[in-house]
Amino acid sequence: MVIDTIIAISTPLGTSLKAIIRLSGPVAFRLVDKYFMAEGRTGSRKLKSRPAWSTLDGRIKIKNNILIPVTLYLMPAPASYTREDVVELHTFGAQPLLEMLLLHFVRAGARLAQPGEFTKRAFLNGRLDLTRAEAVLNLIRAGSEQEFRLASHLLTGRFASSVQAIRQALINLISRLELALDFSDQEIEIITPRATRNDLKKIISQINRLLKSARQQKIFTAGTLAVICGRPNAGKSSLFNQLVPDRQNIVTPIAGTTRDVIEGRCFFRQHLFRIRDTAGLDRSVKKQIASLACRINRLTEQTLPEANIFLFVLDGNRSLTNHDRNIFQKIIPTRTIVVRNKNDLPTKLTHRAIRRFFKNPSLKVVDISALTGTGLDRLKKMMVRLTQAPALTTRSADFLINARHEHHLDRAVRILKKTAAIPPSDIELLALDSRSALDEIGSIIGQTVSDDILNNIFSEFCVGK
Amino acid sequence: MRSSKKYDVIVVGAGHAGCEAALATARMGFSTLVLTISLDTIARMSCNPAIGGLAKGQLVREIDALGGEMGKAIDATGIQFRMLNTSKGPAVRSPRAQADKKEYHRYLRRVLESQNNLTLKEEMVEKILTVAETFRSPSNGRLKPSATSRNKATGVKCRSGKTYTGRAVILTTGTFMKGLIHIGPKKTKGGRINEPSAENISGSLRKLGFEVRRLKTGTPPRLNGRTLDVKQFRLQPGDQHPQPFSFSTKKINRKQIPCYIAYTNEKTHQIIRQNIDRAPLFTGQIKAAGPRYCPSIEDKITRFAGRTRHQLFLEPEGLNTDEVYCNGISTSLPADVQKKMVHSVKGLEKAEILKYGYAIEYDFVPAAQLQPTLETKRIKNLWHAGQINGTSGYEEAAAQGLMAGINAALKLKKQPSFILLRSEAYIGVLIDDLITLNPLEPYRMFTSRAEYRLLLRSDNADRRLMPYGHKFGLIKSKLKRSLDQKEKQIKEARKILSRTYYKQKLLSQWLKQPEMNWKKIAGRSPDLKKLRLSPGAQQQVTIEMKYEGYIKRQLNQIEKFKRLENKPLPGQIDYLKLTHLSREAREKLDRVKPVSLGQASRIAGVTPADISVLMVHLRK
Repeated sequence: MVIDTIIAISTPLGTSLKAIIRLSGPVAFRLVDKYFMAEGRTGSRKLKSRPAWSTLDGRIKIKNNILIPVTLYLMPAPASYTREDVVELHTFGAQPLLEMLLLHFVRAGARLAQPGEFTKRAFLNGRLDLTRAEAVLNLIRAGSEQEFRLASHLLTGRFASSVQAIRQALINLISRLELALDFSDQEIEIITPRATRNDLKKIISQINRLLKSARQQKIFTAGTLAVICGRPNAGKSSLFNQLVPDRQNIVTPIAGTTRDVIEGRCFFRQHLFRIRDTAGLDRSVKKQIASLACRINRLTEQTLPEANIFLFVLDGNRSLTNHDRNIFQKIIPTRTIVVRNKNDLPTKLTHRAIRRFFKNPSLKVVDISALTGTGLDRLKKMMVRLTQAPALTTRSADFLINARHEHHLDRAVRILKKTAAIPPSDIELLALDSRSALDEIGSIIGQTVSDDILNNIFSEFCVGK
Repeated sequence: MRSSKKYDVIVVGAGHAGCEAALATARMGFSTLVLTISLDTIARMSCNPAIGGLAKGQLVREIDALGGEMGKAIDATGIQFRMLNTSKGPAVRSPRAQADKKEYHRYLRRVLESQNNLTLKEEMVEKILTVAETFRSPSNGRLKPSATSRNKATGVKCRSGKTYTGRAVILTTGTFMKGLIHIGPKKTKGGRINEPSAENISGSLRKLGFEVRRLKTGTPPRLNGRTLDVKQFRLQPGDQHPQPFSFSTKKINRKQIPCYIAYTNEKTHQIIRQNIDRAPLFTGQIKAAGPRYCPSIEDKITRFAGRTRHQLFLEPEGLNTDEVYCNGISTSLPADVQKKMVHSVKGLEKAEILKYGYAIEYDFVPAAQLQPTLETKRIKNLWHAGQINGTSGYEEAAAQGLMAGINAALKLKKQPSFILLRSEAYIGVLIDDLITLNPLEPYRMFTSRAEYRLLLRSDNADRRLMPYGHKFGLIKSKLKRSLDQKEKQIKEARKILSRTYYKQKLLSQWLKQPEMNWKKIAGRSPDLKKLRLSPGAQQQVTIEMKYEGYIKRQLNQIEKFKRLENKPLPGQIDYLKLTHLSREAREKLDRVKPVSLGQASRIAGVTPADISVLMVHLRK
């Protein structure tokens, strides 16, 4: 039954310095062997021939000659947790690194594990006794529910609609191919070779565009987007640096707006946040001659509509102005935390004064000092409370799903490129390959069955004698 | 109760499903009784006078390879043969033929009448007779009932008052169970136009606990061929060299005649639109679901309002009749509207309508209540085949009839049942779809329903299925021997192709090129020439070479598919109590009660996580 080799990150996300990637299955050793370079003179021996439960330092070579330092833990069958060949890669807990490693091995032939799959295999292979069956079932259930919630959370917004559009384009193409096969005895618009080629080309570039933007951002749309806004000098940058501690590693500029907005990711209590700072804006416009209104408009256009929550930073020892009011008008009060900064200095603003100024008695306000870090914990707690997103746990963290998406999109493109080379008269082969591509897209947002295609045909075309 | 005569098998109905079922059981050695309302309507084509077509042609070839009669019948009575999709790859080529409707009926009646072990009787069945199953008590050797309710079919009771006892009962009721015919606002009870309906069988099934629902289908008017102005139509001739359906037919010798194509126009559409308030489909008079792939003309015009014309196929119903079938304008509009509508078509201005089109509603039994053998889950020794299972089409019906017949005979022989996989045959796809998807609108076969379409071709049905037919005694040894010979030739030819070079390229590579044919290839290798491959074997080798990479890929997929297919799910699992399954999965699994993990995985709403839960549960 079990034949493929599965892979997953088996340490909690974003919380530890060290992380473990685990592979289990018949080709686990072979897959790692292919890309592993041992340190020192131990060199050429195959992993399989090394003693069980041994460890090995070295590096994994992935594409573009990137070398990732790892320690291998070798657990050949049956002395492993799953009773299959298991290899663990211990490495640094940096997200981009883990993501790269994971994708690398998935491309090499491993499959991303389903919720609870390691434990399920352990059970099916007799490693766990019958009394544990219930626990295994719970794990599968909980995992799949969480994945579902996470997926539906993730699959809202731009990413989802792009994937949906790709799927529909593919279904339309396949429908027309199938129409040419299953209804050719009737008067129907048969798809022309040129139309097939154009459609394929269009879909390929659609997917490529999505992949490109996804890769640039390094993130899809996961996590809660918290936008920091406020007047110049209120302390937005300092707050950003406090919330996103490891800035060097994870801050990624957003495509096209590099100078204006920067974004970082962080975890509070298992919740993923993307913190977006609008600090860059201040610096750049200082040099330009632009009105405040213009700046705010630009900010609004680019960032505010996407925000899930707002961190509105005020300078605690300066009085409120019309600038503040203008900004406040652009944001959604119920999803806003007013951050009264600089409480290390003498304060001029009471909470009451703030609420009165903005004419909103239920406004949430928190005091912090971005300089010393006081009050940050309370802010984080409030942020978590305000977010609607589910918590992320060990298994199915968002970037795991992202890696999965990227993988399927990647495969779809590769299949479609091959499809485009098929002679246009071989419609049955074009249909077969386009369907494989659709299956890949389907792995992201739900399978497509032959009935869906037939339904599409019946609703789009007048068939039937 | 009047005395009842005993048979091994009772087949109710003698349509396309009933004929195949009865012939299979009789040929497999069991005394078989066929009960039909009228002997003059055996194998009647209620709708269009044609057999085969896209995906359906593949079904007929499969029926033939298993030892069914349909292919031979159409070969003997066809009046226009066409191979469809010849411009596309061999995987999607399908034979189709116009039948001489009367001749087709006469042919099958003759075959049934001359079949050993087979008795025909005119009877209308009213009730399925059942008992509670018994077992012999180990303590005193007496028979005791093992179930609390009646769960085993023993025969049928007819309107004449007679009862017939059978160890197996096969129901093939077509559109006759509570058939209701609609022409405009007029409603008439009937199983077909001018034929009575069977009013009581479905009630008897309901009493036994079956869920019974309704479906709808329709048919167009028939015209008098002498009143058509054929010069106005586009001629649609048959193939120059008609290709037979049956693997045992050498050549088609009958006279061939053409069909014609005409078009509706804006005037036709206007007539329909003006009278749409008299169309039972739109007034709410018809509630049941009809086939979306075969919509009525009023439906086409409403849903695709932008189209200025629709195609009409004028198909002669035989050589010795003037009746012409008007394919494309299936309708239940009132007679006066049908007349105006027909006369608005160019070339049909003076057409005389011989029979008006009509819609018919009928009872069917949703197929999730069946096992993969087509035996019902609820009542043992009762099989359902054909439209009673929610399908449409002569070919779909015949395929089910044959499978029900074979499985009934195997059960009487106490032999393992015969289930075709989705990877083996369109018949496998058909039955798996029926029992898994539980379609609630008429189900028709399409090639796009088959995952392994490149392997399930009409040209290789003999290689896929004839060994089974032979094993059951439905295929003569002579035919099987020629298949073995063909297989041998194919194997040898492939060997030579894969080791002989011509201009530094393997012959197998040469054969893949589109401009190549067998003659040219054979000219490059004396060994190959010496083999004297039959045309059939040449075709097989050429096709297999063309598709080679794809076939390999599909075979790999089949390996994976079979792993789940071979994991049986015991019938007694109480899915409703498996709380780790999602709620949707619990309900769907409980309804379908799949026989394997593979079938479970194809149920809409059952996720990979649910399959994982089932796997763990099976180990508990």
